[in-house]
Amino acid sequence: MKINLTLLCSIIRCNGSIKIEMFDQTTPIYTGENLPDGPARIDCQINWPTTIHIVTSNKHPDDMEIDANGNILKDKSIEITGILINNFPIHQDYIDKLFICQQEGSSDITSENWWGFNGKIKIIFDQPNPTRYMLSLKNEFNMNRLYWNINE
Amino acid sequence: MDILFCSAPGTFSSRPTLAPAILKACASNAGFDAMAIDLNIEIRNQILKNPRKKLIREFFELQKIHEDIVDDIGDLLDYCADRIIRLNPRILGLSLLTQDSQFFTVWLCYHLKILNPNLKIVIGGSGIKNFIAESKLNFAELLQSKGYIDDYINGDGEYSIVEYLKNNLSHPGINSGNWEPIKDLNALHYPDFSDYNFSQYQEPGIPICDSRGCVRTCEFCDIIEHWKKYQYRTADNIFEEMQHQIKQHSITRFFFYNSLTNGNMKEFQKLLDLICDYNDKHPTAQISWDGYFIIRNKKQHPEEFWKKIKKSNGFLQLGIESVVEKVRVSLGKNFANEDIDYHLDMAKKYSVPLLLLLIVGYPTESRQDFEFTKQWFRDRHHYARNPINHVVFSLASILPNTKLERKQEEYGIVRGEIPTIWMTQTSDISTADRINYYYELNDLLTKLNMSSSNGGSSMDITAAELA
Repeated sequence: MKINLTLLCSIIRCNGSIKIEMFDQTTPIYTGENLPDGPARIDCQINWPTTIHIVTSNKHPDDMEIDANGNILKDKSIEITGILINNFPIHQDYIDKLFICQQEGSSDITSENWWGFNGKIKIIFDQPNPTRYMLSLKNEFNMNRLYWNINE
Repeated sequence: MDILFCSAPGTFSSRPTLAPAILKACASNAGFDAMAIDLNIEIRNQILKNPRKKLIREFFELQKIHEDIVDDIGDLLDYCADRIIRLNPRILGLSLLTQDSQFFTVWLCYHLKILNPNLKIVIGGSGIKNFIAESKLNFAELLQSKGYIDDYINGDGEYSIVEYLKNNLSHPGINSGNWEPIKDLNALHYPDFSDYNFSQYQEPGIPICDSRGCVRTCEFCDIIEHWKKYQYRTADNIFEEMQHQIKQHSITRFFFYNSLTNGNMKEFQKLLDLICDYNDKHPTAQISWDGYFIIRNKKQHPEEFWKKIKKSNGFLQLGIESVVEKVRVSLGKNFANEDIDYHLDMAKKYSVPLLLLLIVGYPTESRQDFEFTKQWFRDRHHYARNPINHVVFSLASILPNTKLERKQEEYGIVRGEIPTIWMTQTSDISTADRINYYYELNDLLTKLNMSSSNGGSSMDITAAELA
């Protein structure tokens, strides 16, 4: 079944932006090379069930500058701030847990939604349909029935 | 099929929902191919058989997705989607009776649009708003903005659904807060229940809408703010519909879905006469009915009248609200406690079953009034089962757009997040106190052998909100 997947992002540029390529299994569905600084939105259509593979690149060692106290002064990264499946938002608390990340040159597997590295990321949609997926996450649509927020 | 009308699950009533059958009749008579099913009862019956029914109810009321019911909810959604898609309608008309259907509706519409993106979905009914009299349409607008529904119809849908099917989206009530009430209830087509399976209901009966609005102006009530003018059908028109439905379904039990059956005493008396006459002629298949009923004084409801109610097999739902006379009269129910006692005596004498509706902890009630209420029931323990069949308690709510809301400063009401959470500056009674008071009343009535329950989901939602 064809499903709309939306990733809401926050992009930080430094000497250009990080490059992001997305694949539905092996089919390319999105490439972003010169992403603008600030919030962005990636919309793509996927075939459910699937595994989405994401490749991040164009991060260079000098893209991050840290001061003597360890504070980041400059960086190049992309943060996923929201996931919508057919416009149904996944709760903020779950987002970082859904991405399975492997940084280039490392065998460590982590779960994070802030990608300031070159590497591979995947998100597995293995339930029979998005509704079952949302239920399995126990992802409520909106917490407060009395104040349905149309901007949510 | 042009349109399939479904009740949205979540009402948990054991009785048939009326709206799909009304709308089917409107659409069919305008030349559209329509069908009506009561998904509410189908889902209710499935939930009742489920050992995890309490957790499933929590999903409906609070959207709580407990680990143990993930598959149950998925199965219920699949059942509804499969039922709808198999019938292959071009449009789905989903009717929400109350806001208790909202969470399930979100999930169902989401699921349906995934399985069949071409299915057009229109929602309607008083449940598309959180409260019937409020002007905000956030729920419907949100679903529309997300693409889970295509359109919504606000207010009376009898004429607007036909205009919608004709693609006249500028008709009042379609995707708009402004709507036009039906001008003449007698001119409407009789509801078409031909697609309903009446064997699904614990107590099979035919719902009838005999009136809209109310003759009273109780300050807590939002119905009178929605239907500002009381409208009624003539006795002849109602009785003709009863005969039509008996002929169609061989069912002689009728449920009046209204605010009151005896708003127009002339028509009501005439209807009783027609039913009594029918029952004389059909002693083995008599008509019986139930409906909301306002208490009046002895002169207006003389003993002869009670004989007719008995002969017509009436079951009366009495909105007493408070047994403290000064509280009740001031909120807008202008009858005396002796009138209540008279109705209890008459109903006992003629074995007319009664359901009493009471508000727990009205803003003008004191702790002494709570004690008075308990004593009132103790003093009337001999009415248990006959005629008091059941007592329904509802937590006092300050509903949007009601006279009570407009009087909140006068009463010194300080409101919380939801309508049942409030306090007054003149007393120390909290919402938790009122919930405890409900449990005390419930326990007392159990001891008095009177059956009681809380009305709707407000008690659970309030308790969850307080927690």
